[in-house]
Amino acid sequence: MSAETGDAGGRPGDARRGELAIAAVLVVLAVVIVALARRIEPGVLTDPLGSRAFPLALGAAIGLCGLLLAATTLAPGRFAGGAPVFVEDGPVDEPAAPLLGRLVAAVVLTAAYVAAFEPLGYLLATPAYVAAILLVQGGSSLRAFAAAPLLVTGAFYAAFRFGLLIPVPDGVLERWLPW
Amino acid sequence: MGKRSMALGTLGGLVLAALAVLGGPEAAWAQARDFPTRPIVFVVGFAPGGGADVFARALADAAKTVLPQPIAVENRPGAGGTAAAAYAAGRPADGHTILFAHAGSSIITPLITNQPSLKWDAFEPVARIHAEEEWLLVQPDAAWQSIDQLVTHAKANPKKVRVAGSAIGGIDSFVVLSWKQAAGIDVEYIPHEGGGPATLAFLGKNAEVLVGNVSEVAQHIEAKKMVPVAVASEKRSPIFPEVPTLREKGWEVVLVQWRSVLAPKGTPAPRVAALAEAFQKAMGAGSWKTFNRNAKAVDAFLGPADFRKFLAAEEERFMRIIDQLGLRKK
Amino acid sequence: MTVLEGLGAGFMSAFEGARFLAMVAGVAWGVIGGAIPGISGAVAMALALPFTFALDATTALCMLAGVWAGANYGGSIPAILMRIPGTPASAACLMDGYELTRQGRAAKALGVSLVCGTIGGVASIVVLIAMVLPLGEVVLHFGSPETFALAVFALTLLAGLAEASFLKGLASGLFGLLLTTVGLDSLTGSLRFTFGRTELMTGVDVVAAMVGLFAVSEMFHRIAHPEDVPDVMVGRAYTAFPTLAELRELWPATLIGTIVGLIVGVMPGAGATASSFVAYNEARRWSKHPELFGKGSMEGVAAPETANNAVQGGDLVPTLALGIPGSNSAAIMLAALILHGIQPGPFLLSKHGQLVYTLFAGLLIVNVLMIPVGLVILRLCLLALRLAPPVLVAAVLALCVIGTYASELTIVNPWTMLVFGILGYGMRLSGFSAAAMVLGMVLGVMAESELRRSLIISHGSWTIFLTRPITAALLFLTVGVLVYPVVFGVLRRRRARRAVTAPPIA
Repeated sequence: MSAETGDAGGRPGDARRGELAIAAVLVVLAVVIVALARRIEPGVLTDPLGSRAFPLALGAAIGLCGLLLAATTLAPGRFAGGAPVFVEDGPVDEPAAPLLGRLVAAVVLTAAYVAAFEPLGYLLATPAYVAAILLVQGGSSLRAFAAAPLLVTGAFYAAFRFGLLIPVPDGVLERWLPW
Repeated sequence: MGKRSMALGTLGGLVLAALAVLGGPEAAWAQARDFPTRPIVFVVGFAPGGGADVFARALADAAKTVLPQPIAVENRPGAGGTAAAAYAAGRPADGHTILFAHAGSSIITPLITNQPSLKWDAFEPVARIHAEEEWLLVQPDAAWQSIDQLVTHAKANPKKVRVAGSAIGGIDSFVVLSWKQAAGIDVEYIPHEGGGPATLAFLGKNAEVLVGNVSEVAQHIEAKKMVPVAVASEKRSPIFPEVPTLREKGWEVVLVQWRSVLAPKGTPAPRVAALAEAFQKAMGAGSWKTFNRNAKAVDAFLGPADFRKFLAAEEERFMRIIDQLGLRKK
Repeated sequence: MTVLEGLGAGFMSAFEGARFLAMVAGVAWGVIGGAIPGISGAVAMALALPFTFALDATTALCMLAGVWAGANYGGSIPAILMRIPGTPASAACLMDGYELTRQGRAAKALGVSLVCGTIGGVASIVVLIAMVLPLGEVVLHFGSPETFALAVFALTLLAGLAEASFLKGLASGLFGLLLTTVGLDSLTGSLRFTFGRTELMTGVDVVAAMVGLFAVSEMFHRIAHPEDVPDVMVGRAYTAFPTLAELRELWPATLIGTIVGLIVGVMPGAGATASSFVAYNEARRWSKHPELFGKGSMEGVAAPETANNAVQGGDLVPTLALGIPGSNSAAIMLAALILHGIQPGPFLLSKHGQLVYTLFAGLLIVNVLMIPVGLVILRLCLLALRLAPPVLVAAVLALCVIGTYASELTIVNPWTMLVFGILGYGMRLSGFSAAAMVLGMVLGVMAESELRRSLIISHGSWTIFLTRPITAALLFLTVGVLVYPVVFGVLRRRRARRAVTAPPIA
């Protein structure tokens, strides 16, 4: 829903453009919410407010937030008086540009892990995932790279399977595990 | 298996393929042994602490003395109990997975949401175990203390009588909705998140009438905080034989909260029979008797064949009510 | 049997046989469960339930009370150390707790959380014992309108949670409220925002969403910014107990936490999470240093941690007085009673007085036991922080997936978690507030369902909110709380302007 636009470290113009983009996202989101909420079908029972009222009101309020955000960004002085006193300091400055490649890789790997969690089973998916996340971050020693995936997998498995008695999915190993 | 490997992500697909080849002879190995060889998993589609969960745990505990292997309750709450049904349907049909079922999870919700693959007939009926009555209750200081007086009052004051009960889709909401229609009265139903919150709202005088499971209301009746005026069973209750049924008043509202056990489709008949027999024996255990007595529930055991017939009849009945109320989506 | 006699016998009985050991085990189990993201207190208790079958009813209840108390505390350990709330109730304390960790004061924050949590827990049990007997039915005065008013009051916190911008914080909170409308509308039976998916019928899982918003987005942040990992100073970071002087400074926050926890606990439908947020907000309002909140205030840790432990006593009022559970955790206590052949209800105290008094004693004991047991587990958690940062990140991510899966044994929850992890990272970059969104998700059902239910009760008339004294008082308080700072701010600005126009003195 929220665009990753807030490049707080950049020039003031960039920050302003970022805020306007965020405001636009909020307004679009609000329009979508209202459109979807109007299509909610009534249920079996009825009540004075109904099923649509709350989502509609929230959608409208989110849209209002977006419009006000645009207004305060475009004309900062004029709305300062009306804006509540809670406004705190500006965003904390990000120390460095994010390592986007690593981030995307981590997201994709996590999605793959969740997808493989049940069909492949915890015991096979987890070491692969841990190793891959280590690889993405780089800088691990060979020893850590070899030991961590197995230790992490084993420790959590022991804790969840035998400590908490949770049926962690065994996936393809189901037939071979003695328990 | 095929479907599962389709859903597989990028991770380790090759490993899976290599291991899947080895799966063949296992099935034969499992059948050669006596049943059950592993702990039986009792899948419950409702959160720990609720009526379904407590029932399953009590039954599992009672069966401990009968079966050579323990029964482990696994809570997989979600989607009115159908999340658990979807899970159980995908488990091996070898008798080591069983599913909790009541009218809500295995008839009403699948019918309303149009998911025939999660309805009772997509499973093997094992046994119906017990049943709880549904009661209509009024405030002890109300001017009406019988169902006739209540209906007269409700007819004279449309929309003024408020009935507290649990969320739409549960048995108690059906009791009220069908009664409303049968008696031709206009009462307001106030749905709550469950029987507990509904009871609280009623005790706090936020409603004139309460509909509830006998286990949830019996102690409050005893404490004189509520007065029963009708029961939605076929016959009068052994606990309060002076209270009439809705049926004898001419309203065909017969709904009880029965609880039961299903198994995945294809579970071998001898194993289904073995499970049913084990449950029947377990119902003789002292711990089960205490549980049932406290819950004011009555044993209502039906074996696989009878239970299947019962379910078919029950579905037909519910279908009629659901269509009358206009609950079903096209 | 007077209360004191009963309690005395209860204490004797609580130390009988293996009961004490069961309580120690229960607390340890609870602290560990609470510290695992995705496993909430009620889930930890449910997991312990099968083990209690082998015990007698009293021991089982004492052990479960231990799990409950332990989980209340356990959630704050990862919240303070890594910005990962172990339970939803610890989301409020991470705002200042993690800030303190960044400042190298993790040890003190953990100590404050432990000691204040214990104070809140013990105080609430004492009030419970004094109250449940004569005043158990007080809970009946809290109906739908009252719970709705409390939700509205708690929502004023949105005004203050905004990290960078008021409007973005508000929008985050509103979106959180909206998320609670996803699924089957329990009042009418209509489906909202489900897009035809049965997985969405029961709505968005708050715990999984919260783990995503905080824990997963934090791990993504650490992967994208490996340089921005705070130095917890493990060598010295064993729990540093607050000194008496520090406790004296924290007592207003602790008192606020206790009162808020008790009141919110008694209210049906409102739980530990709502109480910790309300307590955080109130502590800031009454603090001598409100400007420190969000920037590493000890009071910001003390108040929510006291409150979420104090909820236990309030939750047990309807549970013991009427046999109706005040929360999911209380429901599991009742389940344990039923499974041991004891019928909970209005006659519990008269028929099983000894058991109830032993439970009271056990509740006091487990809350005190939290300190030694908490200390031991804390040290184990700190050991984990010695891992190389990349290993820690990988392990935490894997733990989040397993933890959210384990809570309801469904893969839907890890997916929810991942979606909210990505969303949380985007919100972080663009200045939205994850805490405000969690607050919205916690209060949404309370706000909407109770409002609509109130209007059914009143036959559609809005005057119900003015004619019921508790409701009206809460709503007036809400208006006051919102208007006061604005008026105060205008006055101050006017005074400042006058000061500028006037010639400077000296």
